[in-house]
Amino acid sequence: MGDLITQDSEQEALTEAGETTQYLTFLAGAERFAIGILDVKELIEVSTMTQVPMTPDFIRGVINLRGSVVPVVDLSSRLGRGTSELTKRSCIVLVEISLEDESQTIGMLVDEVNQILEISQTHIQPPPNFGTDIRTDFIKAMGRVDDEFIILLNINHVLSIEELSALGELRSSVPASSAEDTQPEE
Amino acid sequence: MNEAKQTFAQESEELLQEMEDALLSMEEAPDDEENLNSVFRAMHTIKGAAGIFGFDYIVAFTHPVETEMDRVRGGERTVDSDLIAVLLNCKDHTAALVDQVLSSDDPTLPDDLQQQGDELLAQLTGGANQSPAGDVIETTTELTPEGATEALPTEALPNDNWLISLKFKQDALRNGLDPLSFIRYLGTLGTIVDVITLLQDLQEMSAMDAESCYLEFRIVFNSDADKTAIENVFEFAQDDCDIRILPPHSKQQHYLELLNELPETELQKLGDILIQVGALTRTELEAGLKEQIERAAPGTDDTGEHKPIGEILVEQQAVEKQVVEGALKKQEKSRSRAAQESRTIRVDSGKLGQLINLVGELVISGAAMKVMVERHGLTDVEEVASTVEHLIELIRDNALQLRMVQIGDTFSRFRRVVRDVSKDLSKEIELRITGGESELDKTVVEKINDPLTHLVRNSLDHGIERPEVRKELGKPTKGTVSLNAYHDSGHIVIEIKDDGAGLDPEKIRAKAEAIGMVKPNQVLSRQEIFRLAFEPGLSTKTEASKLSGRGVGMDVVKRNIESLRGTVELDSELGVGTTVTIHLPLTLAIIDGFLVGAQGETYIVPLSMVEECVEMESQEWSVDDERQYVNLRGEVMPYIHLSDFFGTPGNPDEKRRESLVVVRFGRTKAGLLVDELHGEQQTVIKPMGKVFQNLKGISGATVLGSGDIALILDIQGLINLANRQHSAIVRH
Amino acid sequence: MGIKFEKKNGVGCLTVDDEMTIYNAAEQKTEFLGHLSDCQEVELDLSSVTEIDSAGLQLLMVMKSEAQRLDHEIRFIKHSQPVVEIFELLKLAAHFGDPIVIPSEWQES
Repeated sequence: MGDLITQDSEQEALTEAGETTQYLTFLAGAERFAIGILDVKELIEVSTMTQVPMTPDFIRGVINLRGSVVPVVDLSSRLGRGTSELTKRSCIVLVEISLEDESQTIGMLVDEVNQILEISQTHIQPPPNFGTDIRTDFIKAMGRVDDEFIILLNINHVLSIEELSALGELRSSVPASSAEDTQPEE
Repeated sequence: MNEAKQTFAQESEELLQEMEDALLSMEEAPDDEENLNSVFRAMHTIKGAAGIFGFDYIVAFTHPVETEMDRVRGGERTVDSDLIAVLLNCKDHTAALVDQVLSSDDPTLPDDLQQQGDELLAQLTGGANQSPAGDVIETTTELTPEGATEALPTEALPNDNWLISLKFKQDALRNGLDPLSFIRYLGTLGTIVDVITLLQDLQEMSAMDAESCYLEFRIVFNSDADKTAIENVFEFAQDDCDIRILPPHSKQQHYLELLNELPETELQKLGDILIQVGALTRTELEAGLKEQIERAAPGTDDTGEHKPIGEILVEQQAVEKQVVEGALKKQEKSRSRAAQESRTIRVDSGKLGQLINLVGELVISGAAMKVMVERHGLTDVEEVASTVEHLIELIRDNALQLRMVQIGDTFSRFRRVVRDVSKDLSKEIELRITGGESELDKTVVEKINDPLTHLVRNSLDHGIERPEVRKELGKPTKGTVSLNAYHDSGHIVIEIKDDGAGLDPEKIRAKAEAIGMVKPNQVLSRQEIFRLAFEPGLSTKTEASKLSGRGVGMDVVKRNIESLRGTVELDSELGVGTTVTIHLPLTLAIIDGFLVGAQGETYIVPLSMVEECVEMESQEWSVDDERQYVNLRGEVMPYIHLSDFFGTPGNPDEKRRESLVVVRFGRTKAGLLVDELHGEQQTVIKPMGKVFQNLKGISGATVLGSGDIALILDIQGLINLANRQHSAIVRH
Repeated sequence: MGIKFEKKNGVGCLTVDDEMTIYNAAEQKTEFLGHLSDCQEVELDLSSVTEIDSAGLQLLMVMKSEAQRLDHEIRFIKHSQPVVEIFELLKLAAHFGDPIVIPSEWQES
């Protein structure tokens, strides 16, 4: 999975001004993204995923995580960049999403996990209004690393349970009125 | 301290529930001593416990209530509907105080609670009914027939014997008394007509202390001696014995009292009890029995059932109805007490949940082990593994059983709701409960309470009409709401039925069309129209009532029930009534499953729904592709081709060798076309999480012995989906 | 406390050769309990019971209920006069269910 930890020799303490935060970077749909390291629960290898019928394409399926059933979202697909192809480098990033009082573990399928980077507050800019085809609410901010800009994802939106589950409904329920418009496939 | 508070709260809740039940019973039977005792006991015990914990404001409130109850028990105050109403409010207030204790450590009450309490106490103690003195039924020595202020008939029972009740205390023998000698002495003053000797229930002889006294006597005594003389017989026993003497021609009331003092561990036929008490003579009993036998002869009664002997005796006027009812209640209590004996133990439900989780993991490991054994061909291990599997099954069943409770407790809570609401709405409504012994998982019971409440309130509020309206319609003025529960193929079925106004399918349809949910020329079956009633936005009431119109609609009810993997349906006939039927799985944790395979994916069908499996290439079934029906030995039913339906990829060129699994849900049957049959397996249901909460057709997932995940099919959901798709096709 | 035990034809035959009062109730109880548990069928010969009080009566009653609980059988036979007297006083003959034989030489006391 590549070298996971690269840390600056001087690690600044978290203070109000000039604080740096660590981000996990990864590749999905040939583009680089990052999320705060504190949001990452675990990184695991891709194992057998069981498909769940009647769910949107970006819900890849579910996996057995030490006895619990955890859903896996194909990040590339969710961001509108097509279905991921599974390679040796593919990896699942487990994050914890809260909804009201409860939290749910969700896995994100990514193509490759890269380094952990430290980005200081000063290098973080608000998301652009244009220039990217990703939904604006998916983007928390832009982080500048050397010459590159990395999209810092807002995972509460990317993996919003409300959205993930609502889309499930649209697909699975076939209300009498709408069924007239679409021919269900046999 | 927190755990102690929890225990206090739990026990208080139970006592308060008993108090409420007793108060509701009291409306029918104001003088039943058991009820008075329950109320007294509740206040007394809660007060005591609160005192120990230092919950002063609870003590301050319950103490005056207890005092007042004591006065009622002592006959200084009569029970009437006003008193009962205040006491019910006191019960509610006490419950609120207990909640307050749980939520805050602050020793002072918030003002509103304090005020509420003060008002209630004022209502309770000030200007209440005071019966004139002299109406006291107290000590054993003061039982002269009194004046006309009693509620009971003043005719005495035709019996001119004394009734003497002797309850010797445990140390009587050690203190040198011999009950027999007292009885012998008594015999010198008159004739002992009959004696009942009772030995307190000892369970086991080994538990007995041979020097303790366990004896009690009820003596029917005929004598011309006066009361003092008879009392003097027992002069020296007074310290070691509870003595009660009823003179001849005593009032019914006193017989009832005596009846209530019979130890409940005695299960006796009703007639014997009445004879014991002296309210009946043996000849009268025999005559009644004779009639009962005659009536029980087939063809004489509608149902062929025995007319209870109590009824017969009352008819024959051998015994006053109240005494019979008192005895019946006694018998009922004995029976239920004996059935549940105090062999219960309080268990923290969190611990039980943990246990069941562990059992679940054990089930999975057992399956994994089985897989290993098969894979490695370890035939000599097979038998042991099989035994282990069987034992795990037994543990599983036992563990789940621990968490089963009777739904009757939940049903009983509705008595209060029905009573209060009927009063509020000026309607007459009776609540009938059947099937209360049906058991289900405690976690399900807790969650079903809200939807049930809403449905019952619907019936009360919108279903049952006002008495005047009912009269006009030729219905009995008293409306009936019935709650019924029973088991059916791995589910518990709950029915809420009313004989009220019913629902108008036309109105529902009209509303649905108005909001665009349904197209004007769309054909809908009756079932489908009623199903619309559960959609949000559909309410045929023009104004929300103050009870059910809080925005909590039928759609929320449906969602709550579905989150329990249950289903809800309704049926109604305009003008006649409505029935809502809820199906719930018996447990949320573990089910027996039947594994099937479709295109490489494994699915689980709840075993309780599988009727039969027919292997491929059997002559028994054939598929009608066009009309989407399968014909099995002449029976036609809809089918779902699992891999097609789920859209799992498959090689179209491959010849599909399929099997048919016939499933049954309620009265509906359907066929599932699958590729492989894998057999039975215990499965632990793993929740799939909120991401899949709206997924229909799949009710959960499980981990197989191999570590793979298999999805559990929600058959009802699948059938619904298939039907909808099917009707869409047909319409084209 | 004078309890004799003999097994005859599979039946445990007990004879009480003493009074059945509070003075020996405790000891007698232990003995009786033991024999009753061990034997499917027990016969208790009461002919030598010289005196019986409430404690003794209690023992007799408990033995009957214990037998029922264990699904064993116990019979009281040859009731002595003191025993008969209290059975009559308390009208317990029916309760115990054993036939009582009253020898003709007993006089009305």
